[in-house]
Amino acid sequence: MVHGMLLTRVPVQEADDLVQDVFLHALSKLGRLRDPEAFGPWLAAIARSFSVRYHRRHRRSADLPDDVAVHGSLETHDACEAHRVLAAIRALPDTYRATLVLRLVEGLTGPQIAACTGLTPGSVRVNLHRGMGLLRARLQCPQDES
Amino acid sequence: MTDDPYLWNRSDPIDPDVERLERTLAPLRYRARSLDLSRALARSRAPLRPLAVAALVALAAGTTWLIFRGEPTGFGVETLAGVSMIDDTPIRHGSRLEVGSWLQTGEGAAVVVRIADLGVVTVHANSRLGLLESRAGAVQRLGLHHGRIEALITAPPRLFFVNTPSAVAVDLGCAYVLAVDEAGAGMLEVTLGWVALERDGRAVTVPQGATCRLYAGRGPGAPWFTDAAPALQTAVDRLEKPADADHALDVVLAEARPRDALTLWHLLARVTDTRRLDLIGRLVELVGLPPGVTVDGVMDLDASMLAAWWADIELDW
Repeated sequence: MVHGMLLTRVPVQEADDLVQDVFLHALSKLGRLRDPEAFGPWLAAIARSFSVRYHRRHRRSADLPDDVAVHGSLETHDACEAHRVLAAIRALPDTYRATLVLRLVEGLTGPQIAACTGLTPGSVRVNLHRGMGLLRARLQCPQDES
Repeated sequence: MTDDPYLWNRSDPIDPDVERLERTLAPLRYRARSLDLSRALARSRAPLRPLAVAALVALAAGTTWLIFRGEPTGFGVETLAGVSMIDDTPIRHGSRLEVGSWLQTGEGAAVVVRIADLGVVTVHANSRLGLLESRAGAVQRLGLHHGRIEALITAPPRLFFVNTPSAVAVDLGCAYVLAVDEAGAGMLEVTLGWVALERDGRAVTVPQGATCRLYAGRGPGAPWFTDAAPALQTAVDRLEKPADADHALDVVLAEARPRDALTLWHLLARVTDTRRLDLIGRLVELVGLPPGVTVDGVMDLDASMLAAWWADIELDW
């Protein structure tokens, strides 16, 4: 979940290290969590803050787009395509971005996303449906006509 | 309209577009790896101290002298050095500190007090510590009349309290050193987690790596990180003297790093309106103003804006 939240904004090559940073931060702040039942949404909020903070710090620098990293190494066609799709998801409104990454990249189901993030199942369902519609349009995938 | 069973929870019928995207994006999925602690700590600004980490490991291993689940009343006490008393009785093997009793350590003495299943407190020489309140599974409250203690607490926050003449130290999940003299002046240093110092409705939050002075009859000052510039640390103390306060604040503002937003934030409610504007300006230079927080709101000490700014700056610790 944390990795997925970070992937909505930070470069792929930075996400793994930031996952560790998020957990170290959460560990040091665990005493501030008053409701253990809220651990998932609390951790999601920290991950979101880290991703926003990373994006804020690096937006003025010459950001290294993922596809440059792709071209700079021995990436395959599959990896190129993965980065292209991720870029399309990142271009979506913030509301849909995290939900789609958690579903399509990290493989969480809708109920799992709701449990992790604190969103209601109804909100997750709507975000997935609308986000997927926008993503199809961006990627020009054929619509399911049923 | 939202009937996408495969998209929702991978129920049939399979959506071929979704399935194709899952396969395409699979290379980016997170693959768990062992925490590279050395690298992670190098990136972190607030590394866990090895001793504290070792202590937590020991606690997790369940060493018997740290676990007293089901202990009916009071806390077990063990002598580490020298001679100490509980009320008028010398401490021996099996001694306990009961509610209403006071522990007095002698010259060169040290004692460990086992706080139910919440942690341990080491009481150093020439200290007087009482058990004020102890309810099973609930609040545990000690009173530090004078002296020096080190606490390592693994309880959920706000179950362990230490009253001092100047403030109440509220554990938020932490390890710390607390020392006070008989007038109530003292110092708190947090080595892990957080501690709140509270008095008369005012709270100071002290994170690991930071220190806060206690002033007799007045309560806690503003906290500072122990790696702050010496001039800043001295100036924070001088802020408590009205004749020096104005110049001291100039020094704090000049010496502050982004990390010292901890100190500046705590001063916002303690200074005049004119100086508050200076504080806000310096904070904006150092750490920026987060969305939803305005200069006017902070000038008015709007509680929600102050809380939002705090939540933003504490990410850097």
